[in-house]
Amino acid sequence: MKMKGCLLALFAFAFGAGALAGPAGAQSLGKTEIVFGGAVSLTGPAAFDGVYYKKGYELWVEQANKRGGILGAQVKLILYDDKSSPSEAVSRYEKLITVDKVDFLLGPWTSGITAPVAAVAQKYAKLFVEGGGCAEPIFQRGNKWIFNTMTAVDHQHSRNLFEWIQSLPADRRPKTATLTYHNSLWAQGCAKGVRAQAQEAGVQLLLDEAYSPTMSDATPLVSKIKAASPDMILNCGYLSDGVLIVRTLKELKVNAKVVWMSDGPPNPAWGATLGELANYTLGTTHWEPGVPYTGAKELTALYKEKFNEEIYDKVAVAWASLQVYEQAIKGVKSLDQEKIRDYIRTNTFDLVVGPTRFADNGMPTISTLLDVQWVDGKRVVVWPKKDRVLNKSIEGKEIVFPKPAR
Amino acid sequence: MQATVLQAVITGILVGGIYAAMAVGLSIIFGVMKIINIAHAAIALLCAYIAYTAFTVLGLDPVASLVLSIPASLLIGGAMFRVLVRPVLGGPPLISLLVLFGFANFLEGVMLIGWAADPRSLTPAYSASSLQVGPVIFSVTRLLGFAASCLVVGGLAVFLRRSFTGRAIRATMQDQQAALLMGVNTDRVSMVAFLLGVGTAAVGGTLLGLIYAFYPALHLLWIGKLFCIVVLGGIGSVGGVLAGATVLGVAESLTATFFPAVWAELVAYVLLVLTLWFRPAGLFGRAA
Repeated sequence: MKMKGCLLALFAFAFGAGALAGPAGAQSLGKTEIVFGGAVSLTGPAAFDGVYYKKGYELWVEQANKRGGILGAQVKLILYDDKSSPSEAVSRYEKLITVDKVDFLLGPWTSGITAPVAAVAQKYAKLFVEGGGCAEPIFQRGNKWIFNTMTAVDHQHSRNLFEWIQSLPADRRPKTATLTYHNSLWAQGCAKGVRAQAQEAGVQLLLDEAYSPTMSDATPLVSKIKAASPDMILNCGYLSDGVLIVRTLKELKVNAKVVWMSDGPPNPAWGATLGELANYTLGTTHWEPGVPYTGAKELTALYKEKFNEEIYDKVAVAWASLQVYEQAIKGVKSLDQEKIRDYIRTNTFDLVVGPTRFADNGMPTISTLLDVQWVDGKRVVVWPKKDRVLNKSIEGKEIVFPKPAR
Repeated sequence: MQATVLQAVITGILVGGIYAAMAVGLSIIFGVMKIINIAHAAIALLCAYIAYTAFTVLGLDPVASLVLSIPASLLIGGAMFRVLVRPVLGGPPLISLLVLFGFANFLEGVMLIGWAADPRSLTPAYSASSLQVGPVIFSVTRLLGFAASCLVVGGLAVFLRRSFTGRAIRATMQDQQAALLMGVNTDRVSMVAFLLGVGTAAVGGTLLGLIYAFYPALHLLWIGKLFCIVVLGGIGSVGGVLAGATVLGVAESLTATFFPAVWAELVAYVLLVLTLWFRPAGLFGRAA
C-alpha cells in the first residue's frame, strides 16, 4: 500500500516536471494564486490618465493568465478607485495590505498620490513597483521598497524641448517664456527643471507662477501670460488643467511661437477634448508605440484589439511594472518580498519601456523621453530626431514652429 | 497696465453678476425665515449638472436647459421646504443649519453617484469665443451669464417691489409678527420665498457652470463665497447682494491678476472677516 503510494507520488512528480511546468512551478511558489492590488484615480481630476493604468493592469493580468499565469500560479487583480485623493489612496492601500492581504502592490497615478502611498508600502515592508509617480522627492526618502518604471525623473521632463531650442540657429531661437505650473509634487519638479534649463539656454522667464490644483477658471493666469507676451508658453501640469489653459488662451486671443503643455498632449483625450485647439501644442511623453523595445509592438496591437483605441505612455509604464514583478518572481522562484526586492536591485529587466536596471533609490537607469506635437488632429513625435534616436525606429517630424496664430 | 486693470475689473464685474444671481436667494431665504440655507450652493451645482446632461445627451444649450433645471430645482425646493425646513422653522438656528448641511452632503453624494468626481465643463460652440472692444476682451460666456443674471436679479427686485406677494415677502423680512397681524399668510410667504431663492440658485449655478469647470465638492467653495456676499451686502437687500457680489468678483479678479493666482481663493474669507470687523451689518444693512 505504502509502496503504491510512493510510486504514485513519483509518477505524479515525473509527469508534473516533465510534461507540465505549470503545476510544478505552482508547487515551488507554494500558492496557486498571486494577488496584485492597487488603487488608481478612476474619478476626479486625475481620472483622465488614471483609467489607462486600470486598462494596462487588466490587460496584463488577462494576458498573463492566458499564458498560464506566473510559474503556474494564476494572477488576480484587486483595483480600487482613489477618487484622485491622496488620503483616499492611503486608506485603500492600508486595506489592500491588512484586509485583502495582497501579495504585491501596484502603483497609483500622479506623484502627489504615489508619495504618501510609498510611505505606506515602506511601513509594511511591501514591495512597491510603480509606474505612476516619478517626482524626485519620492526617491529621496531612503525607501528600499520602491521601484519606478516611468523613464525619467520630474525635472528632466522639459529637457527635449530645450535641446531642440539649442539646436536652432541663434537668430531663430525663442528668447522669452512664461512658466506656469500645477501646484503639486510632480509639476513643481517639472518647473524646477524648466527654470534650470531655461537659464542654461538663455531663455528669459517673464512669469513663474503656480496655480491651484482646483483652479476652475484660468482667466487671471492667462491674462498674466498675455501681459508678458512671451515667445514660449510653458506649462507643467496635467490634462484637465492644461485643457482649461489652452481654451482660455484661445478665449483671450493669446498666441506664442511655442505652446508646451508637458503631460497633457501625450494623452489621446487631449485631441479629443480640445479638437482643433489641440493643433501645434507640444508635450512630452515617456513612451510611444514605435519604440524599438521588446514587446512594444505586440502591446500596441494587443491594446488596439482589446480597447479599440490608441495606446499611450501610461498604459506602457503600468504594463512594465507588472513585467518587473513577473520577471523577478520567475528569477527567485518565490514570493518572498525581500528576495524579490534584492533580485530587482541587482538584475536587468527586459521591459516594454526598454532594457532597465534600477538605481539604489529605485529610479530606472534608462531615461527615454519623447516630445510630441499635435498636427492636423494627430499626435506626432517631433523630438528626438531620427538620426540619433532609438535605433532609428521613430522618425521625429519637423516641429511646426512658430506655431500658427489663431 | 491700465488695460490690465480694466480687463480685471470688467472680468470681475461680469462674474460678480453671476455670483449675485446665486446669492440673492440665500439672502431672501435668510431674511424671511431666519435660516441659513447651507445647501444653497449644492442645489445650484446640481443644476449645473442637469445643464451638463441636457447639453451632452440632448444637445441642449446650457442657457436653454434652464427650462429643465428651474422646475427641477423648484421640485427639490418644495420637497425640502415641506420635509426639512418647515418642521424646524422657529427652532434654534443650529438645528436648521445641521439639517440643511446634511442635505447638502446628501446632494453631493447624489452628484458623485450620478456624475462621478471628474471635473465637468459646459462647452457649447461659443464657449471659447470672445469679443474685443479696444484693449478689453469680453468672453461670450461671461457676457451671456452676466446678462441672464441681470434679468433674474432685476426681475426679482421688481417682483419684490411691485407685486403683492413681493411686498408681503418684504414685510415679513422686516417684521414677521407685524406682517402676520396685517393679514399676511407668513407660512405661504415663507414657501414662496424659499422657492424663489432656490429657483434663482438654479439660474446662478447653471451660469457659473458655463464659465467654470465644476465637480461635486465644489459647492463648499461656492457657499463660502455666497456667505461672504450676503454678509458684505447686508442681509435681505437685493441691492446689497448686487454690491457685495460685484465687490467680491472684482476683488478676486484683481487679486488673481496682480498677485499669485492661488491667493484669489482667500479673498472671500478676508472680505468676510473685514466686514464682520468693521461693518457687521454689511454695506447696505441697518444695524440691528
